[in-house]
Amino acid sequence: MDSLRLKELLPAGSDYLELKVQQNRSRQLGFLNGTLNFNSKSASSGIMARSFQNGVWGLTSSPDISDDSMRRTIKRAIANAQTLHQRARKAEVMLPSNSASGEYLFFTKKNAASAQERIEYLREIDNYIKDKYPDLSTRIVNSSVLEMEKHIVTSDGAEIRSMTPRTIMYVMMVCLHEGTPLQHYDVFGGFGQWEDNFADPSDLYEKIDLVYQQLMDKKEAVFAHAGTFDCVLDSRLAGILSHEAIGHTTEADFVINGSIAGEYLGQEVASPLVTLIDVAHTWDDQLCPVPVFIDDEGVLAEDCVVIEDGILRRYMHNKESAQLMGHALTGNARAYTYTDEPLIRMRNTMIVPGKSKLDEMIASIEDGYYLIEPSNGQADSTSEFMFGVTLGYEIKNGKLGKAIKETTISGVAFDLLKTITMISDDIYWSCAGMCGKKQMIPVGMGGPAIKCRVNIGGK
Amino acid sequence: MDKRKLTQQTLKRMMDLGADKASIRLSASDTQEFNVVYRELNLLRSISTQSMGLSVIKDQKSASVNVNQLDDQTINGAIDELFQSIETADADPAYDISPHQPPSVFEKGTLKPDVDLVCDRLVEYARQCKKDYPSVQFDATMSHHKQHVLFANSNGVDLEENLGYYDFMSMFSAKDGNKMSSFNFTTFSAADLDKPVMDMNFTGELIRQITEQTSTRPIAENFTGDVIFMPFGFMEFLFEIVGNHIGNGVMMKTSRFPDHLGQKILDDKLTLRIMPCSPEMCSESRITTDGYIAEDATIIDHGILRHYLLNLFAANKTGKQRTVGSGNGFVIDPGTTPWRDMIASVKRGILCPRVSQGSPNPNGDFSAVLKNSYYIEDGRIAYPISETMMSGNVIEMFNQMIDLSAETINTGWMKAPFIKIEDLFISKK
Repeated sequence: MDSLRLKELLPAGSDYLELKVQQNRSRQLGFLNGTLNFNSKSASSGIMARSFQNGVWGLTSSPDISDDSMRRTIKRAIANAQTLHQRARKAEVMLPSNSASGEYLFFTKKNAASAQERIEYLREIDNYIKDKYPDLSTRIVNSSVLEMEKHIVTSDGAEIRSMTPRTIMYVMMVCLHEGTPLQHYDVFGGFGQWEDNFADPSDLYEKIDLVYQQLMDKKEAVFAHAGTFDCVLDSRLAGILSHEAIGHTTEADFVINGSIAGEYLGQEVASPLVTLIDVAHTWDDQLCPVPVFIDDEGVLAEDCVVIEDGILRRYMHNKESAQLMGHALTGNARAYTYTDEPLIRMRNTMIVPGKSKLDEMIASIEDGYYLIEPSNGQADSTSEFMFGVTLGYEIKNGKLGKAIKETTISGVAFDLLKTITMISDDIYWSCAGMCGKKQMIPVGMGGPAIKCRVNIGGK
Repeated sequence: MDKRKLTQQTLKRMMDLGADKASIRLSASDTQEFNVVYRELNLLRSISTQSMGLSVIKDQKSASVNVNQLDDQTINGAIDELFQSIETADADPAYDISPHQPPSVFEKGTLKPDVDLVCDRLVEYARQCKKDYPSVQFDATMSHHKQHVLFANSNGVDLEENLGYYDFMSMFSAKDGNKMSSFNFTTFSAADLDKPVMDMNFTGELIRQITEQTSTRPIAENFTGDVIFMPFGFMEFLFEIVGNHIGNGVMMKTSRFPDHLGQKILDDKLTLRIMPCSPEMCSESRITTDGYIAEDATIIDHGILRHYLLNLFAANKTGKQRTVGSGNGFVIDPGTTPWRDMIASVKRGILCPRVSQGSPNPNGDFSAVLKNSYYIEDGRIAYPISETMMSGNVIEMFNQMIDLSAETINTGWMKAPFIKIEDLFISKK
């Protein structure tokens, strides 16, 4: 569908209207103990029209991408808004606009790798693990590609073409220890197509060795002591902290629904060391894991500095929340599939690196924990959070001790942020985050390591 | 083209191109969804989807592809890709397709929805919430979902299903001045909308509870005691057992019960069934993902393992017999004690509607944050708690069941009572 024709289909008479053509493509390859047992490909495409009239929305989607279908879909979206207006009887509302146009197609510039080459790459990784670590009971080497291609036009003049790829590899190892299975995994890759992420299998060997070493450490793992301790959260955990514990509470839809962050705008909510940003697309001259230049409402995407030097400065918005709260647009409206309405979603949420070194941070703790690898995380409107921790170590007298068994950490984020006393000078971007909020969507989470006080589950 | 004809034609084409075995799943859905956002009607979505899943086995190699455009060019392209993928795949004798079964057409639920009633029930919920619980902030969605599935394979399997049900989801929290509660949520499917949603699945009770949870406090000290899980809070632990220990975990070698059929593995108070055929499991399909007609079965009978939940591939891979597949429509048999009486018997413990937890290790160790929960002392609810964690071992938990309530919730995909577990470690911040 060329842009001119897509624009021609936009009718007059709606307060605001979006028309989107989207295709999501995915490819999964996976080895289970040396055999390629997961070998599938998927493509899902369709159109979506969304109309805003008299303060309510009508949305219609269809997998049929023909011109006739588009006309029908637009008509029905407008009719849905009118139907809802009969029930809701809201006053007319003018949505804000900061429309932009652009093309952001991140196809690789390298020679395309064939399916055979990708499979051989994964097989080589699996063979490396099998040969070097024959004591494992299960090996899983999976790769997953997701490409989201969108073409959106809006009645306030925006037009976006984008193709945002993500390619990740998941390596899991299981061993039996005293009759009990132990497992550990890591994820590699990130933004870009396969060719941008995976060139030579040997590039990953060192990281794979580390996964095995950490699995072996778990054989001697001890329960963490339950309670509140000085901890160093590794950069991987700090990223998920930025996203789950702070990010969600400062999404404007959460704020309107009563998030505790609604009480704190302009107030000190964190140590002055802390600056937290939802980065639109670029940090330190590098593209972030989920670069968003223009959002799905056609709004120019800008960095949203949520916390600046400890002070809560901004919330993340879509058009509707910005109108309701009278705030500036940020470009945080995103949708996952062609059937979905754009919701307020984080893009690349991070704590800005500080000046400390990780070694110094660990050395500064007498009795605590170095928590490295998160599994999942959940947040609450109170800013109470929970993360699963799959890898961590004791810190005794400034030195790393035994590994700890899988545990959970929790706390009230705005309390935790005030306990931060050191922030490391590096940054790690998590490459595989998917955030669930009615729809799933890829997100980037970045962070340096932070030293703070954390509530840890254990015995 | 007629969809049945399309499936048969596509299947024939895959066989003509040299497949030893092939299967196809063609599905289409229509959803009408009303949304309340910020306590007001906000959005009406009309969503149509379709999908065609194709799988081929050749020389014991397998590949699959999924497309949602059903024109000749897309389907032929997908088939070409399948055969290219097969060339690069590995042989594994575990690959197979379901055997011949009698052609069947299944129909479940409400296929002709009353769309006005969907909106009426949602508006009713919003009005009731605002009137009875003015401090509660909420979003809510109510929809009707209709799905048509055709499944066919080269063993002559020819199955069709029409499924229709209503979905409800609401997320809510309360605010009292500048004090606010955690959020809680409910989500379930229902075959009909005969009752207000506030009266279904403890929705009203959960919202009433949230209004009390703007003032919470941590427990005074760590202790080991009883936890009464509301069904939503318990199901995550059940799915851990199902996934890691009697399902795929057997194939992944993470199971603690890899060879325990007929043995007592969990508490004898636990009877777990799968009931995809039951009208109560309104959103559960009668066609399994591996192409069998789904059956009702007792998986754990008073603690004794009767079936592994393995699909055809996992069963072949582990050398076990596929009996009931990977399972859907989970039902835990209720007990006889009213849930409020369960509280009365607790000396010191917790009422837990929801947990927030990381995935337990395969050995079952876990720790979790108790959400929306209450401290119980001397048989009475004392106060709502915050920043309190629980830790234990999932398998031990399922061997420490003291009681199950007479009341259940039914989400349309699972049905379960309140469950009381003893000796869980509860820790404060």
